[in-house]
Amino acid sequence: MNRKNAVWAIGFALLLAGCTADNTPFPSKPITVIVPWAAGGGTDGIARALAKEASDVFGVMWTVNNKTGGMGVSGHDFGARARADGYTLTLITYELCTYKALGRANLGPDDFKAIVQINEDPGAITVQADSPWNTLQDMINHAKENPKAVKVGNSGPGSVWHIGAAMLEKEAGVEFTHVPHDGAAPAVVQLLGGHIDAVAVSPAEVRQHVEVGRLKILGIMSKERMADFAEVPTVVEQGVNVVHGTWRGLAAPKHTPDEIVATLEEGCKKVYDSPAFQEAAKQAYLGLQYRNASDFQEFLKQQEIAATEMVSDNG
Amino acid sequence: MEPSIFQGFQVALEFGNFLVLFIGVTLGILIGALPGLTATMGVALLLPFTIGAQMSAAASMSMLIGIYIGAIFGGSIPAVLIRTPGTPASAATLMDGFPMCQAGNAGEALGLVTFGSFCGGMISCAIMIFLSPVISHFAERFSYAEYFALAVFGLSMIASISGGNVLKGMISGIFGLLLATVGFDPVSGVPRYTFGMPGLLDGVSFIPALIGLFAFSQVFMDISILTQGKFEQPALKNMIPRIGGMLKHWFLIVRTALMGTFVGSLPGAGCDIAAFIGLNEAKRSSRHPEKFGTGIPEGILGPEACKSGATGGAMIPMLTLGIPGDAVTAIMLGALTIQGLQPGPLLFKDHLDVVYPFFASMILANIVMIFVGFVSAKYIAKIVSIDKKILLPVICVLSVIGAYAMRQSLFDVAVAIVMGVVGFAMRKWDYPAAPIVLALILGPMAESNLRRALLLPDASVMMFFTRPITAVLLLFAIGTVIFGLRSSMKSGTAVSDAR
Amino acid sequence: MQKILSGELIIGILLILFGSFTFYQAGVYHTQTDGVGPTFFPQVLSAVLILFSLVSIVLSLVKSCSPQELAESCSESTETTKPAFRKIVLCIAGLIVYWAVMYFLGYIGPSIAFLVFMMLLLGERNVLKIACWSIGLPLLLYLVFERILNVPLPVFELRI
Repeated sequence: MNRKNAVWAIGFALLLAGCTADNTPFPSKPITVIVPWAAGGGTDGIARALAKEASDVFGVMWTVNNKTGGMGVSGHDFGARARADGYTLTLITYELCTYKALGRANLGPDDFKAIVQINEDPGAITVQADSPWNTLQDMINHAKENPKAVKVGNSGPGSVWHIGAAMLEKEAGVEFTHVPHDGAAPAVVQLLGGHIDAVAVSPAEVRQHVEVGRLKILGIMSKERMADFAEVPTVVEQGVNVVHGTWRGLAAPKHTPDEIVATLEEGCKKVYDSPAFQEAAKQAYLGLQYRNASDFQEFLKQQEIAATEMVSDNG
Repeated sequence: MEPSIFQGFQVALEFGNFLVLFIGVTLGILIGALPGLTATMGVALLLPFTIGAQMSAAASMSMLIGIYIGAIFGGSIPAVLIRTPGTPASAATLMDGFPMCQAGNAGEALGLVTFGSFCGGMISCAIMIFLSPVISHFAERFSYAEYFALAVFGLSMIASISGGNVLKGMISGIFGLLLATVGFDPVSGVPRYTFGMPGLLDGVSFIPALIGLFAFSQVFMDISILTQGKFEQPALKNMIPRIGGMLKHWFLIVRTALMGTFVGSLPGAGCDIAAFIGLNEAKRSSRHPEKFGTGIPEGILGPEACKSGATGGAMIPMLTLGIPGDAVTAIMLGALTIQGLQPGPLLFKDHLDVVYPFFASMILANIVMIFVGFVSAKYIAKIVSIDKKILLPVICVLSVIGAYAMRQSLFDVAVAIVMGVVGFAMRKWDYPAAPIVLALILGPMAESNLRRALLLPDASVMMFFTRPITAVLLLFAIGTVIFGLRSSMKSGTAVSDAR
Repeated sequence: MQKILSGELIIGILLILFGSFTFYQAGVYHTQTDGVGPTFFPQVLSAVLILFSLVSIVLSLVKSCSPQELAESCSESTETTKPAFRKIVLCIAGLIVYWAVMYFLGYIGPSIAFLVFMMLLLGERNVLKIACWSIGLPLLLYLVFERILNVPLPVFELRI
């Protein structure tokens, strides 16, 4: 029985330690970042790069918890309902602003308190390298002559890239066949196999295949050309007025005390500026974009309005 | 100097790297053996640890590979001993493993699991090392129609795994397929059968459902047996597995391992589908298919070899295309990215110094796994001799926590309890549970890919006949159904002859 | 024998009701889309489920006409006696209470209580064994999940 008693004693001691920890200044125990998307994806990559550096800056462990499914609703919902003590944060993404408009969940940016925005990635239209289309206009012309013949893969119904492709469709006055997948990666595989004509995903998600010469990017939906893909023209340059992208940022449940959010914001700024984080983002070809708490909250509000308009326009 | 596989072994065998690999495998076996903790979760949970401990790329990959291989193997331990699959992939092994264990041959059953797993893993490693580019090119030819046909092939196995009663098996399967439609429709995004419950948006959670169907229903069953005083502790004989007898089935092992490797290499199809394909293949090629389900070695070796074959297969699209083959490799992909390495076509070109140690770790993990498995089998098998009055409450608590842990949701615990009652009712009236598992795995794959295929402007029903891979897979499916019906009729007559 | 037959009938009818419900409910999800919409699959499945359940009912009725076959299906060792059934119901009730209480009281307390309840239910009378297992296991699991794997388990908190 000695071993049993020992286990009991240790457990009890730890329990006591856990109880007394509550009075120490924030943060005093591990912080969990909820990622509403699958491990291995772009959002997950950002979260893990952030968590790695933040563990050093804050002096407590940051862990990443992927709560996937339901087109990101599960994770966002969990994050919004988490204990508002600053120990459970959520890496919110563009889709959060579309749930109400799409009638998926009564969940929006109002359920969160923004901390920082860290990333922004534009959409891009990518085709096989040996495709007859060399510019976006080639593809649009083909689509004009053959409505619905162009098969465009995206990362899920109502996902940020689905909306991006729909915006392109509307601006150019053509009709595509949209093929939704479970995430960007399966869509890219289908494009590699030549089963669809194009994918609307971020440049980072196709970059490797572009570098080895299997895919080519026709246009990027950013305001200006991207430094990493300087030779690829923007969609706007090619006469279609679409600027569209996803963003990711850190947020806490809405009732989180302001001083905790301020502590987190300050620390996250340090993380964002750290060379290691900048390097990690560059390695993964993730676009960096910083907004502080109040700017990010304001940005979220605008995004929700814009997304609602977009969805009601496109049906 | 050109990096070579030998250099890979040099790196992987460095003391630190080998130590974490060993710890990874052992921990993986534990994680896999706990109901509710899957390989995916094990890798996800230990990833921050490898980062926190400032491990090198080689060490952290060694650890994650160890956990992956260990957990996929470990899941079969409780499946065999207490009829509770630790990971979904082990639901197939259970059907012959548990009866064998009930007959007193727990040690032998564990030995078969270990050996089958090891062979499958090693064969798939060889394929991964030598044929990765070829396999990944073939996998690219899989489009929506092919995935749909693969799912139909998988579902056709319901006919062969339902035991004597194919009709009840089909009813179970269709019930499972209906359960699988709960949640957001992956093609249109419409939420179905959710009734406003956020816990259902992602569908009926698979792991808690599995815990309910197997663990809880078995607990209820055991309570019934225990109360009636009919319970006998299974005797513990044949504690040491004999390899000689296993080698007799070498051809089955090689075939199922190859199939597993290929299934694993398809993004979106992994160990769980492979395990059932392995069982199906073992039964199809057997000279006495009616003995399946009574505890015969082929019924363990087939699914185990195929399941572990999928581990090497899942690495192929990750390494060659930078696209995960399953949920576990998705996390490994993330881990490599954090280490500043982008898996994909460029990795093979520029970073063979990473690729070779990776291969070596896969092989070593399998060797460590068979070592740990054989050494510990004798002790682990004793679990069956624990007093049921203690064991059943413990299983209940483990199951509740396991159901909770996956998504940290009490809703999932409720799902497990409800499915436990359903599972118990099903067992009482002879409805097999395995078809529900198969349906939950394959339902979404069948539906979404059929609908994607029909969405395309050039779609027609003819494509299921004119696309060669699709046609072959659908032919397999028809063959499996016919075979299943015939063998169930045969076993039906065999039973009445015996009386 | 009669029990087995009526059981088959009840299950068949329940499945038909279930299938009818899912069939009706699937109609709600009807959308204007290209190809096959979200309604199609569940409706086909529901229809097949209803069909198979009907066949199953008919088969069990046919079987009941031949007493020999019915006897065969009864000879299962899975038959549950009344006291056993009562214990199973108590176990399920225990699980439900355990689940409900965990929401308010966290994980440790209810787990200990549940383990004690279950062991007593199954006839364990050795106080020392009950105490060791029911306290040791929850604490061990707490250590493994919270401290090693970093999976937060439910804790006691005031909920309104």
